[in-house]
Amino acid sequence: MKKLLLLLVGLSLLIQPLSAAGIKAGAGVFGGLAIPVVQDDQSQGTVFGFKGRVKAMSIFTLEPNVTFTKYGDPDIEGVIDDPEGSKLTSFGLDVLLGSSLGGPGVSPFFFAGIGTYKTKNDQLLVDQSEVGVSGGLGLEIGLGQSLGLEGRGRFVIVGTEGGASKKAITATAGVNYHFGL
Amino acid sequence: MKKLLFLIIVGAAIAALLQPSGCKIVSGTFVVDTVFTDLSPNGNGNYYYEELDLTDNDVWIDHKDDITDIDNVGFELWVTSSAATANVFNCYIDATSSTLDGNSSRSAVEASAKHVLVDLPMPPGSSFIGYAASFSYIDNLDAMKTLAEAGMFKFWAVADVTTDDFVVDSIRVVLTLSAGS
Repeated sequence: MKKLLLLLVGLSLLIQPLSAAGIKAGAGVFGGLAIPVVQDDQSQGTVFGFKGRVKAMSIFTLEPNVTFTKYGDPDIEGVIDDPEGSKLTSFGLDVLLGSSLGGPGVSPFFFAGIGTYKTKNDQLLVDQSEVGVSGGLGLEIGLGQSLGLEGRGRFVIVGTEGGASKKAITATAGVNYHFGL
Repeated sequence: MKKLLFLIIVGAAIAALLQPSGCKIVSGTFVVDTVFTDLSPNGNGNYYYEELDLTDNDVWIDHKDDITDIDNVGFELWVTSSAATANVFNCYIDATSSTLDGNSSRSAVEASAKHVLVDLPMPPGSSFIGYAASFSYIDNLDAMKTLAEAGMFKFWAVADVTTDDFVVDSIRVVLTLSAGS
């Protein structure tokens, strides 16, 4: 929670001067579904998060972000008391191509990102952090100069200590607010 | 053209990020779940020994050559105590290559095998320790993961009060592993 507050304070401090300098910036919130891929020890859960948005060069947008995923309880065949699903907290940076960052209209975009992913499950004594990458497609619908709605699908790959990877798909919808327009 | 260039850059970046760590993209997390029933007690009435072999489990057979991580090990235990009062018991494991076995003394097992489940409750009559609940009693989890890499290990259960007889009716071993190629 402290990290989240620090991030939000940091974003607000960053966005104001960017806005004053005429640089396109914004912030957004999003939420949706998290679907584990070939992870028998997790089941479908929920994800939500926050992000900042800064236009970098003419075609790229940078998005520092934090996400909170809570997987559902797995249904392990035969096991009588199934454990709780794990929590996954990530701090990352995405690069977007195609996002208009404000203004009316429909903007499809590609994105890719990197981040740290902390998996925690108190019940199963799991607490580990690994680097992960992600990417996908999105669509933003501008509802005016400052407000936009977006949906995006993301494929996430998080490395494991031994060299394998844990994968998931997230499908989220969100609201973005833009400054400096 | 810009989008194609972006996709190529993103793909190359992801490959560059994953390759140095040896991260296997074609991988998953699997659960090996084997229950051992009709167990034959060895030793005397307050001392129990069994060699637990998971290697004929279909999931283990499918992935044994590609295991990168043993993510977790947990148990379900069905126990019947013939004592009139509540007791506790402890579980130990060791490699199948260990010289300890069902004929080893209780003190030798306690001194040399890995103590993995501590002070499990054993009320009079039949009782059950669930998978999720078993983690409340786990000790030496890392050592247990290492021993579980072989897919088989020696297992002892010993009652805390040595004059109390008990029977381990069934054991379920739940092994969570990551595998990739």
